[in-house]
Amino acid sequence: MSCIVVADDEALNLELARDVLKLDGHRVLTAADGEQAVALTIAERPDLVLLDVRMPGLDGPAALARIRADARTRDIPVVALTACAMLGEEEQLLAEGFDGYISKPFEIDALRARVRDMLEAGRHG
Amino acid sequence: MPKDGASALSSAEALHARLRRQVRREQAIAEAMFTLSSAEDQATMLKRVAGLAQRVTQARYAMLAWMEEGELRFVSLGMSQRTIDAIGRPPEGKGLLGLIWREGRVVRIDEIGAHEAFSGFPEHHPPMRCLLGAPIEFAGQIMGALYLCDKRGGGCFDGDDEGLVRILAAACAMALSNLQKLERLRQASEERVRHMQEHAREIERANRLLRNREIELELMNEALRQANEAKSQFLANTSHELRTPLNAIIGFSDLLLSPRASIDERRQRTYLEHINQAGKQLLELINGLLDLSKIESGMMEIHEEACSVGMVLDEVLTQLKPMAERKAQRIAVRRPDDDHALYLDAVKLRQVWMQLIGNAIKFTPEGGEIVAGYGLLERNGETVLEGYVRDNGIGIAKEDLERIFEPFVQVDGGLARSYGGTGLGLALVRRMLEIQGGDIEVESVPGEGSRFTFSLPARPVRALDVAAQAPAVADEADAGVQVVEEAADASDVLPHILIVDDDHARAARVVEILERESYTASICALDEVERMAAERAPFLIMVGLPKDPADVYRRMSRLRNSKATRGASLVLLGGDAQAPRFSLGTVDTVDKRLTRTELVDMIARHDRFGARPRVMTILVIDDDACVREYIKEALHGQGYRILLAARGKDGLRAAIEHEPDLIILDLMMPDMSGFDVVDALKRHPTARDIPVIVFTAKDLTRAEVMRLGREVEQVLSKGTTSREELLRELRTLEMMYPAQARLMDSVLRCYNPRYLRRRLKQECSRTERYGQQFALVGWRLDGYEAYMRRHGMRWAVAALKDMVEIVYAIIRKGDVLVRSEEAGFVLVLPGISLEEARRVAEKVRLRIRLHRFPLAGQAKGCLTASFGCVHVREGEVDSEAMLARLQQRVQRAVAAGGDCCVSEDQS
Repeated sequence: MSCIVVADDEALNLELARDVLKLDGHRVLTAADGEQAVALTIAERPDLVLLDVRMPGLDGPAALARIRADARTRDIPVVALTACAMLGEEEQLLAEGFDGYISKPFEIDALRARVRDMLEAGRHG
Repeated sequence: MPKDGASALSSAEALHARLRRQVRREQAIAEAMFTLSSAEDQATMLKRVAGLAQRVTQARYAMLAWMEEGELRFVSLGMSQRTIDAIGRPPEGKGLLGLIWREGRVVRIDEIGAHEAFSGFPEHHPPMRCLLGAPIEFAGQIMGALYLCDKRGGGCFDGDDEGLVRILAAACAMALSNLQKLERLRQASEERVRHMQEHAREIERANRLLRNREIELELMNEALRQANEAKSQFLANTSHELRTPLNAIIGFSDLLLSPRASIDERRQRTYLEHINQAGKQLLELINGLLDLSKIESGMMEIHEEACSVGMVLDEVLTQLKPMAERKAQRIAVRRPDDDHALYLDAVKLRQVWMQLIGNAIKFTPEGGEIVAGYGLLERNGETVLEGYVRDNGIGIAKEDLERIFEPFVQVDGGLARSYGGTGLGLALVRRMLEIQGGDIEVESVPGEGSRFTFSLPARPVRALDVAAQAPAVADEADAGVQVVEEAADASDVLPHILIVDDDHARAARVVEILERESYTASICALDEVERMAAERAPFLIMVGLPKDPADVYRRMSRLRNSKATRGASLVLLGGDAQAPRFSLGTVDTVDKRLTRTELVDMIARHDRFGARPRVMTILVIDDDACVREYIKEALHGQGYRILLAARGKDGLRAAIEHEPDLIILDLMMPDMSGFDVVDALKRHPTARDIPVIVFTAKDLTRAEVMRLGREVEQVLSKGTTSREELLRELRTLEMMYPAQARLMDSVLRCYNPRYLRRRLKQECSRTERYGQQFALVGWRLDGYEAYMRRHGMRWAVAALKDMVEIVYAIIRKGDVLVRSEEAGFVLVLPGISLEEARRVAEKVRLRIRLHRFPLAGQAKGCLTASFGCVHVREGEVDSEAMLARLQQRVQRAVAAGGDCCVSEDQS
């Protein structure tokens, strides 16, 4: 069982991600914005963080920067969740320091597989 | 010393003196040359040359006059300033001086006064004896004169002096000429410099323009780049906004479908709700995007209709109230005192209110206050609706005030989801207002609140239209008036409306409304609808919204697919019996509420039979309940709508409010006599023309009969009037309600020959009784049979229909259009002269000739007509004779080649 922080300002999508990840028995902590996500990550040191890119206030990349800036959380893998999916966005997000990228809408099995991979990589890396 | 020696000495001395003088002269000439070639100004130089001449020749006076830039300049040496001032002017160059100046002669005179050319000295001039002068002349042009007067110590000027003066004058001439040339050169060069400077300035200007252009281009580039970026951003945003709800839909349905996930029933339901919610969000977004694209591509249509701004606002508030209540917010409404109905697009107005108030609720914290208000302004001569929504919410930063009207911008942090919505609302609002000639503005102080103000040009609804919306309310207010309504005598030619509705109360209410507007309507169950439709051929089917909205689609598609019903228009019926709501076609606008007038308008649009004849309304005013009951019974089943009033006052009010088609009046009533009622009716502008039948038990005096005879149509005595007589009387009054009496043409919107005969008889009797005049205009379309053969029946009838519309556009309300034969028409024009009738005929003739009648495809056809006019006073007052005369004249117009009008008999 791993601990995962998920942040999304869209309540339905947050609930969806939570319920999907719970299928695999993970402990899922939800955040409605970037601030909450950073606070939760620092407090709980999860195994993985899923950050929506577009959020009011502190957006995904800004939250990532905070997580990376803190020594306690700097090595936690962080994956971007985005509904944008425009050309070049994946490269840009990876360049900004995200460890992975999941575009919405996702199929739940694809999300689960992706999370599994990230957790595996996190354990070995 | 020998005489020779002495003479030699004296001659040597004389020689010496001469030489000395010679040297002095040459020195003077040299000095003059130097002076004249110096860079001093003209006047100084010349003055100095004059001084030289004066000194060397020992002249008492030396004068020099010259032209400089077209002006005479003058220096005078040897005269005191006082003398110069006393003379006050330079010499005029007349007399002796004239010889020098005008004739260019060198003058040496020993005795001035003796000279023949001497013209005298000016006043205050000192006396002078000898004169030596030479013109200053260059290349044959005299530029001035140098002259000397009187030698110091007496004596006269000699040849040497003359030589010197000549040389000095020549030197002056050269110098002046050079100077003038120089001046010209200087001027030319200055000119050139000026030109060059001008040129330079022009170049500078051009450069500036170029620089501006460059900046403009840069700005344009920037704007294009921004537009391009905005487009990409818009696409990215759209994609994002579409994907967000899709994620929920796909994700939750995935979850529900996932075999591994064990999800309890409650959770399943939650997921389904989520999917549903996301689906609706998606639909809203897509609708918004479609609206936006419709607006951008100019495809958005505007449907103006009479609507009450207040009512639209009320509906919006009703819908948004729960949302505001959840946040404990108060919404105040400010209405103007003169709350007119307006012609505008109610759907779009509703969207504007919805968005603005919805936003205010969203962006105002709990317990906040929102004010929505509106009023009418006159702006540049047009009426403008101005509405506003004010809140004390979070406000908007100054730099964001414009951005909020762009798609997908919620200002804090760009695309913020925290407040929900599609992000298209304000963008749509602004564009929707703009395409209607309106606008929206926002003022805001962050932390204090915002005020959105929109303006929308609107046409006020005339008072008449407003009144037409009121009767439903008026009915209830009529305490003293009993309204008896009956379906118009079931008639298979009257357009029929079928109502399919589980809510029987609502259906009944709708039937009531419809029948008041002269439609026949029947209620039937869904299972009967095919049979009923086949039987009654309704042009419209109203489908009541079932309890379960999902059923709507099933019902609609059944009606759409059934052969018996698919020809009819479908209207959805919502609301309840108190306030039925109607909606055309689409399920989207199902909650749109129409006013009664709008409903009728809407139905009329679906009614292939065109304008509806009205049910005849009869007002009975009688204090005797038995009499009222008797008349009600007598008229039962005859298709009348009956209003019953027990008192004169009530009756009068009902007559004014309901404008019945006929009043049946008792003369003896406790509160007000029938005579008084008649008098009051005749004084009222709208009730004046309602025909009145007096129904009385009173034996009338001769005077009373006379009095009533002028004002009422008929006096019937109670007790002696049978039901048949009453009905007969009503039938004759049906002339005014010809649809009931089958007096309309079956194809065109006009009367038939039967009506014409009756009406003519009536007009003739009016002429005989009251001396009222009237005229007839008749016409026949030229070559109509050929037109029909060539283009077919369909287009021939279409042309007739067009023609009828043309005529209706010209004639007055009381004029009557009759189709007297296949392509022949007659206009009955009460109260006008033959001349006026001729003008009407001419107008109709020209309109027909200029009209392009519709044909297959985009083709257009032309028609003309032959006209005749007759006037009632032309011969005996006889309807048949008049018609015959009219036909003869039309015939003669036809014989004359058509497209003309004949208005007298052949002489």
